[in-house]
Amino acid sequence: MTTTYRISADCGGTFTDGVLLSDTNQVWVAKTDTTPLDPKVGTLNCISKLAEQVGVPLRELLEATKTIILGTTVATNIVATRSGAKTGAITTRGYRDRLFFLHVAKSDLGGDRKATPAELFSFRSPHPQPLVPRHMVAEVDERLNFNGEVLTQLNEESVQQAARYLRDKGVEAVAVNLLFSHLNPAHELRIEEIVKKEIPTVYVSLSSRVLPMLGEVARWSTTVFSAYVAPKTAAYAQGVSASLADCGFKGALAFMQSNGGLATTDIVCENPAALLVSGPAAGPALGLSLARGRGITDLVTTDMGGTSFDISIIADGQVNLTQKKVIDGQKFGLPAVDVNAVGAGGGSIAFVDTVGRLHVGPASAGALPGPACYGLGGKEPTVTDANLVLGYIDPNYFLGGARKLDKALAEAAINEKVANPLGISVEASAAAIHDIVNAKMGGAIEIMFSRRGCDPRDFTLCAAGGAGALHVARLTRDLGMKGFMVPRMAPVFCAYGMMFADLKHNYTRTYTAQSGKADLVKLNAMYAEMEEEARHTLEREGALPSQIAIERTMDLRYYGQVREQTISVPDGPLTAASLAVAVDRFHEKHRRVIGYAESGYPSVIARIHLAGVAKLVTASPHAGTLADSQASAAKGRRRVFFSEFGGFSDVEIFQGGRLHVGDLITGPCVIEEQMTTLVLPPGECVRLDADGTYISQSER
Amino acid sequence: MTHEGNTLEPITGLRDDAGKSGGMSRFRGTTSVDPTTFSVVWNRLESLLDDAGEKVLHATQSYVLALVRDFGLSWLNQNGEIVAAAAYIARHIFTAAESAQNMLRPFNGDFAPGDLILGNDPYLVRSGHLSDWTFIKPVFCQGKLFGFLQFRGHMADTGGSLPGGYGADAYDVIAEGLNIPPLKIIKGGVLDKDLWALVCRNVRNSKQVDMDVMLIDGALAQAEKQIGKLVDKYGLGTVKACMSEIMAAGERAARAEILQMKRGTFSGESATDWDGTTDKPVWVRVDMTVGEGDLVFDFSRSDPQVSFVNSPLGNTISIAMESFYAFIDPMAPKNQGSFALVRVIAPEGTVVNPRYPATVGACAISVGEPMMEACKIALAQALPERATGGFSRHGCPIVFGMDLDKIDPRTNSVKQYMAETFASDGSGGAMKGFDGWPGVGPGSFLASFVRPDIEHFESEVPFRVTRYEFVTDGEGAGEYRGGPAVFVETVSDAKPGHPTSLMTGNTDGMIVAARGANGQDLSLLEMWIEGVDGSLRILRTLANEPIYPGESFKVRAPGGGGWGDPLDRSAESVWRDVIDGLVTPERARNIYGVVVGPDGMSVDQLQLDDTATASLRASRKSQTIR
Repeated sequence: MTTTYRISADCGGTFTDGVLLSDTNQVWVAKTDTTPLDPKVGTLNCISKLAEQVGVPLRELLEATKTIILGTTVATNIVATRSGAKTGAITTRGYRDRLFFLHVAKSDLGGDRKATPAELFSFRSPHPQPLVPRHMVAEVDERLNFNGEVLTQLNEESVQQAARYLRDKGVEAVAVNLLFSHLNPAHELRIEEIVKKEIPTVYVSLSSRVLPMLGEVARWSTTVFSAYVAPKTAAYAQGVSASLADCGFKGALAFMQSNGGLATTDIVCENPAALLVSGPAAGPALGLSLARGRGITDLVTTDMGGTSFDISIIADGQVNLTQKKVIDGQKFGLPAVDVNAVGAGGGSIAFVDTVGRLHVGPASAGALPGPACYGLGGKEPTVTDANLVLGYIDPNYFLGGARKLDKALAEAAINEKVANPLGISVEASAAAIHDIVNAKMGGAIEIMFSRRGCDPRDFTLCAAGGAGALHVARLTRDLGMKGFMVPRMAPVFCAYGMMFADLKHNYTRTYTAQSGKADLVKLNAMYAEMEEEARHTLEREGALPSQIAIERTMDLRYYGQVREQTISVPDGPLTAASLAVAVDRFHEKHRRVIGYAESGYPSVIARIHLAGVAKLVTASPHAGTLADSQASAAKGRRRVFFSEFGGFSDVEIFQGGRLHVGDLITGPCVIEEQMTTLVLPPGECVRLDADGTYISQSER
Repeated sequence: MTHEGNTLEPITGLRDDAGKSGGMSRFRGTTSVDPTTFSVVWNRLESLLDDAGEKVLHATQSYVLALVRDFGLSWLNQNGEIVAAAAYIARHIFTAAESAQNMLRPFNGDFAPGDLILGNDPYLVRSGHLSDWTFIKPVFCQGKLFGFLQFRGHMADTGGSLPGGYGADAYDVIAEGLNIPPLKIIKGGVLDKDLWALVCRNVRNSKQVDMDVMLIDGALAQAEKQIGKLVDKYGLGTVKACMSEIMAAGERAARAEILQMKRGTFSGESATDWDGTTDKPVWVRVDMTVGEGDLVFDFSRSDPQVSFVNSPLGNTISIAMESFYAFIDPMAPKNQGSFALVRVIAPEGTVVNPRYPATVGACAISVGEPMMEACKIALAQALPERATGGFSRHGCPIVFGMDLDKIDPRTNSVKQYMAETFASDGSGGAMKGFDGWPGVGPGSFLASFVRPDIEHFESEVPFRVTRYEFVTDGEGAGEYRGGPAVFVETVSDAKPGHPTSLMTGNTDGMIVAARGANGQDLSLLEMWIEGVDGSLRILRTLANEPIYPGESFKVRAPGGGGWGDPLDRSAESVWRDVIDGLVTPERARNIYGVVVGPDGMSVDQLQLDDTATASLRASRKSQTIR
C-alpha cells in the first residue's frame, strides 16, 4: 500500500510554515519565505520543500495527499496594507458618515491590550480611517423601524442612481449597510439585485447576511471589511486551489477561519471575511488536544514570536470565541477565537523612559533590522539580545545554527540604552529585560484570568512560538500556575494545529426578550433555521449527517445592562425548563466573572448563536520523535544566568533531538531544539513524552 | 505575525522626544527598590485597577457608565493621596486630590476590612456634581490599614427634580438631588440596610442603582485581594517604597516639564453661555504663573458664584491638572506627586469654589470646558508648540420621559427612560502633525467614550435619528485642520400624552463659542426644534423643553479648530477633502489657496491643479503681513 499524506501550510507575514504528516505518523517540517505579491507561490514553494525532504517529486506527493489545509494572512495583509478592492458602500439616507465618527474608544483602538497613557491622554496621533472613503458612500431612500417594519419604502430610482455613481467610480465591491436590516433584509436584497444588474462583475456584501445582529456599527463595519477583502481573498483561494489541482492534487482543500474551524474553497469564497483574523486561530485547539491526552482541561496556550505574545485561555476544555475584535480602528464582529496579544516577543525593544521606568515593547525590531545581535544594523536592545547575554541562547545555534548571533553587539546595545541610564551592569540589565518581559506577559495572562474568574493554580501553560520556551518555566512559576508544556512543534505550532481542526461555521440571530417571557416557538424556529443552514453548508463540504455536531448558545444580561454573557444552552428542543437551566448558568457565570449576581433579578436574552461542526480529520496530534540517536544528548556546558544563584554559573546543555521518550531532565540546564530553546531554572524538571512534548514535572 | 491591532503613532515619536531631552537620569531618584521590582509593582497597581474597571464597565446598568465610561479608579496611599490610576475619564481620578481627605476625615481613622464609604455631597466631599458618586474601600494588608481603593462614577440616577441631574432650574442643591455625606454603607462586609433603604427610596429606578453599587463593591473587593497578593509577594515595605517612588517620579516629571515652560504670568479666559437662571455669560478667568519648577493657577478674577454652573473645589483642581497633563509628555506619571508643584487659588464664593447651597449640576461640562479652555489658553502662551485647536463643547440633548404603556420589570412601575446619542458632539482640534479627530466632543472626554449604536437607542426610547452626518465647510482651517462640523436630526415618535422632554443641562457654546488654546474660536453650537407645522423654536443650552409627537430636534455642532496656516496644508489633503465633500472648491481656493478643476464637474471628479495652486499660494503668501 502506498503512503498517504496530509499537509498543512500557514502563510504568515514573514514565513510560510509547512507540516507534512504521513499515515504512519512521520512528520516533516519546512519554513519558507512568504511571497506577499502572490501568496500562492510561497505556499507551493513550501509544499515543494516538503516534497524535497520526503524525497519524492511534488506531483507524486500531491497525488498521494488526501487533505491540504491552508492558513493565510492574505485577508489580514489586505487590510494592513490597504490594498483591497475598490470598495463602495450604499447606506440609509442620513447615515453616510456613520462609520467615520469614532466608534471605538480611543483607549481601545489598540485592540484587547491596555492603552498606554500616551494613547489615552494625547490626541497626537492620526484618527482611524474607514476602508471606504466618504465619496464612495452613496445614500438611498428607505427606512425601517426598530421592529423591522417599513417606514419608508425603498426608492429604487435612488438605488439605481447610487449604483451608477459607484459604477462610474470603477467600484469592484459594494457593502450594503441599511438600518435594522438584520430584522428585515428585504431592502438589502433588492439593492443587491439592482446593483448586480447595473454592475454585473461587482462583489456585493449585505450587512443582513454578513452579521445579522443589532448594532449598526459592528454590522456595517464588518460588512465593509467583507466587501473590501472579498475579491482578492476569493481569487487567492480559487487560485491556490487551481494551482494545486494542476500539480496533481485531487484531495480535499480547506482553509483555516478566524473561528478556529475550517471551510472549503467554495464556502470561503462566499464569505472571505471569515479568514480575516485566522492567523492565531489554530493554536488553541491544538493545545487543547495535546492537553486532553494528559487529562488537562484548564489550559493557556501562548505563542511568542518576534513581535507579539498571543494568549488564549481555555477553561473547562472550551476554546472561547469573541465577536468584539477591533482591526485598524474598526469593529469586526464575526466570531474569532479569543486570542489576546501583547507586544512582547523576541524582537521587542527595551527602553528606559524619562522617569526611570524600564519598558519592553510594544515596538519591535522585527526581522529587519532585527535584534542588535543579528548584526543587520539594529541598534535597539531586544529581548533576544537579553536572552543571548544571559546565556540562554547559543550564538552559534540560533535556529539550529542558521543564523549566527553577535553577543558583543547585544551587550553594546543594552549598555547604551538600558545599563547606562539605569546605572547598573549589562548583565543586571539583561536580567531586568528578561524579568520585565515576563512580567508583561504574566500581567496580560493575569488580567485574562481575573476577567474570567479563573484560578492560575488550575492551569497549565502551553508555550509555542520560537521564543516561548526560553521564558515558560519562570513565567509559569511566577504566576503560580500548575505547570507547562512545550511541544517540539512549537515553532510551527499553528501550521501543525490546522492539521487537526474541524469544519466549523457559526450563525447568529437577534432575538430580544425577557427570559421569562421568551417565545419558545419562535426561538426553536430560529435555532432550527440556523441548524438547517449549518447542516446544508457542512454537507456541501462533504460531511456526512452523522459527523455533524450542533452547539447552541445564547447571550444573556440582566435587564438594563448593555453587555452580555454567552451561555451554553442544553441540547434538545428549548423548553421552559431548559431555558431556566441556561438562566441559572448565567447567574453563576456573572458571579464568577464580575463578582456579583442576583438570582431574582429579571434577565434578558439578547441574541442566539449556533455552531455546526464536522470532523474532517479523525487522527489526533502525534508529533513523533523527529530523529533517534544513540549519541549522548549532553552537548557541553556554558555560563548561564539564574537569579537563584545571583549570577552566572556553568550548566549542562542538552541536544533535544537526542533525548529519548521518558527522559527526565532537571534544571538548571538548557535544552536546545532545532528551532527553539527550553531554559530550565533550578528546581524545574521536565519529561519528554512520546508525542514529542516536554511536560513539567515539578510540584508547585 | 502580529495581532496587536493598530498601534498609535505617537508612542515612538514621544519616546524620541524623551530621548532628545537628555534621557531619564535627571528624573531618576535614589531608591532602595531595584528597577525591576519598581516597574513590576507599578504596572501591577495600574492593571489591577483596570481590571476592576473592566468588570464595572461590562456589567453596569448606568447608561453613562456603560457607554461613556464616565468613571475612574485610583489607588490611594494611607494619607489618601493618589498613587496610581486606571485610565478612563480623568476627572474621576484627579478630583480625589481634594475629595479623598474629605471622604476619610469624618471617620477619624476608624476603618475595618470590608468597609465601603459612599459620598457625593458637593459641600462636604467637594468633588463635583451630585450624580458622580465616590466610593472608597479601605485596604488592609497583614492586619494593618495599607491604603484605599477609590471608584468614582456617574450613577444612573441621584434623585432630585429631574432624572440625570442635568436640570438647570433647581432652586438649591437640595432640589438638585440626593446629598450624601460620607457614609459607611457597608461596615465590615455587612450592608447597613436601613441607610441603604433610605438612599434607594430616593433615587429613580433604585434596583438599577442598587445592583450597580453592589457590583462596584464586588469589583473593589477583588482588587483588594490583588493588592494583598502583591504585598505577599514583594513584602509590605517594598510595595510601600515603590508607592513613594511612583509619587516622587510624578513630581520629578512635572518639575522637568514646568522647567521647559516660559517663565512669567499668562492669562486665559472663557465663558459658559449662562447659568440657566440669570441671562448672561458666566466668565472664568485664570492667571497662571510659571515659577522655578512650580505652577500657580489663580482663578481669583472669575465671576462670583451663580447657579448651576458652579464648580466645587475638587472639580476646579482636577481641571487645572487635566489641562496641565494635556500639555506635557503624555507618558509623565499622573499622580499626586505632580500636585505638589501645582497650586490652585480659587476664592470661596466664586464660580470656581461656590458656597452652600448653590447648585452645581453643570460643573463637569458646561463650566468645566470653559475653565479648561481658559487654562489651556494660558498654558499655550508658556508652551506654544503644544497648543491645539479648540475642541467642541458638548452638544447633545438628553431625551427623557415615561412610556405609560410599559412596565419596568425591575421596579414593576411605569417605564422611565433617559438616554443620549452623543451623536451631535462636534469635533476635536488639530495639533502639530495631526488633523483633529472627528466627532469626539469635549477635550476632557479624551475620546474615551463610545457612541451608542442608533439601533440600540431607537430600540430603547421613542426617538428616531434621521440624519447623522458631517457638515461641509465646518472644519477649523489650518495646516492641520480640525475635525468636521456635525449635523444631527432626531424625530420624536413618543405617544401622545406621554411625558417626553429634552434636557440640555450639559450642552454649551451657543452664545459663547468654544475657544482654542491657539486663540481661534470655534463656530457656535446651534440647536432648534421643528414643529409638525414647520415652525421653529430655539432649543437653548441649559434648558428643559417638552417635545411633542412628530416634532424633531436638530443640532449643528462646531468643527474642531485648526493648527497652523491653511496655506501650508498639503494640497493633496485639501483636494481629498474636496472630493469627499467636506470642503467646497470655493473654500479650498479662498482659505487654503488650493485650485481644483475643471469647473462644472461634480465635486467627486475634480482634479488638483498643481500649477495654479502653487502660483495662487505664492501670491497669497506674499500679500500676507507677517
